[in-house]
Amino acid sequence: MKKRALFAIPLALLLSSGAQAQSFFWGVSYGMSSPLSDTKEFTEGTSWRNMGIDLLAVVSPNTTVGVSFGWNVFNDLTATVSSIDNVDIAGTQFRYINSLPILVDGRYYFGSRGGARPFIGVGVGPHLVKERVDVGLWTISDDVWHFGVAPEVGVVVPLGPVVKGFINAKYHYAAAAGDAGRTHSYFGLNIGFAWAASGGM
Amino acid sequence: MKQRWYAFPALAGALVAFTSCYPGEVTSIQQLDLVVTVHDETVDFTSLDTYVLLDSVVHIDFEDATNNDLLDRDNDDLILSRIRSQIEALGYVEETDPENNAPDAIFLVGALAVTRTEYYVSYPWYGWWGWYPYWPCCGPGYGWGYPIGGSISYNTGTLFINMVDPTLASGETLPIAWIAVLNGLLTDGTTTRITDAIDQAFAQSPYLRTN
Repeated sequence: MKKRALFAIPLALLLSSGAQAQSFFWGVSYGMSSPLSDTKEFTEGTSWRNMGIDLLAVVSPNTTVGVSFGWNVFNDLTATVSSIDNVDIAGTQFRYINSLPILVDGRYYFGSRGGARPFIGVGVGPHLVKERVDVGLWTISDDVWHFGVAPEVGVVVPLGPVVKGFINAKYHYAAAAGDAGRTHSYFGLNIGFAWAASGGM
Repeated sequence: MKQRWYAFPALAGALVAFTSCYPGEVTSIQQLDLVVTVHDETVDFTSLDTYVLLDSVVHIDFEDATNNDLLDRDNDDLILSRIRSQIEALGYVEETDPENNAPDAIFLVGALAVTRTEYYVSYPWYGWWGWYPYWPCCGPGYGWGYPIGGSISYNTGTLFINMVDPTLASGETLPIAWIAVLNGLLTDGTTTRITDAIDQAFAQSPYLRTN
């Protein structure tokens, strides 16, 4: 039931905004992410395997609302001894987090149409966090749904009549969830392209 | 500027392929070795002094298992001598007359081999769409477009080192005070991996020290 609500809220907001929208943009981006807090404890290294897909509806000359999907892969290799209560485990651990945020994304753009437009925005919605540890010949995995928020700043630059380039910096924070009660957070830098499905802004 | 309808899916697809769910790979067989130790937190190991190490490695067998054919006795002496030296390094003294003087701790060693079989199905990218006559690179003779499946079998070996405190015996039950489980791929040339794993089991169990 909770999972349905996590998806229903973003969908309802998108549909309500889309009804009034003048045009749409598709966006695709590549990025790097730096894990923070509990996420960094699990997988410490910076991730270079990140992508995003956005569908944005232009609801006013300075505002878009849409849905933002992401796929961020964090991985780490560690050979430390892990201890849980009276159990100690030694072995090379291949640790992975596949983080899949599904966010309703609202952005406000500064500047005017036709020029470079800085923007601020925020996304809210579920993050599916797939954790996995391969140790020895064994695999331990867990899928946890978190609810999170992702504020961002960026700039959109026109590259042609229907194509724009953009860069943004986005901070993801997802509240503690799952049996382990871990939060999920990271900071991402992304660069991408957006295509107008109709019209423009 | 003409809009390229395929630019978006092409770029998104390239990023999906690059991102990959589980990057990284095993580069040596040692990376698949695992040492797990578990101890009874109610046991005061510092109060223990003498020990007995049973003189053989028991090859654990199941009624319908033939996998222990994979185990030989070539490493048994090495395993027992390595364990003995680690026990004595912790301060334990071997009881040479256990029939008349009950030892504080008894060490039991067992080994098990198992053949594991895993099945997989792999969908190469072209398998998502199948073969089409206008596919630019290849003809129907290649027979691709279908998921590729198969199986892989491998042998794993596990060495168990059990430490029991005979004073805790209750009926036919002998509670384990400490156990080490050493697991890895069973291959030729495992000697160093076995001794390294035995050393690791004791290194990560400093509470076993007698005083």
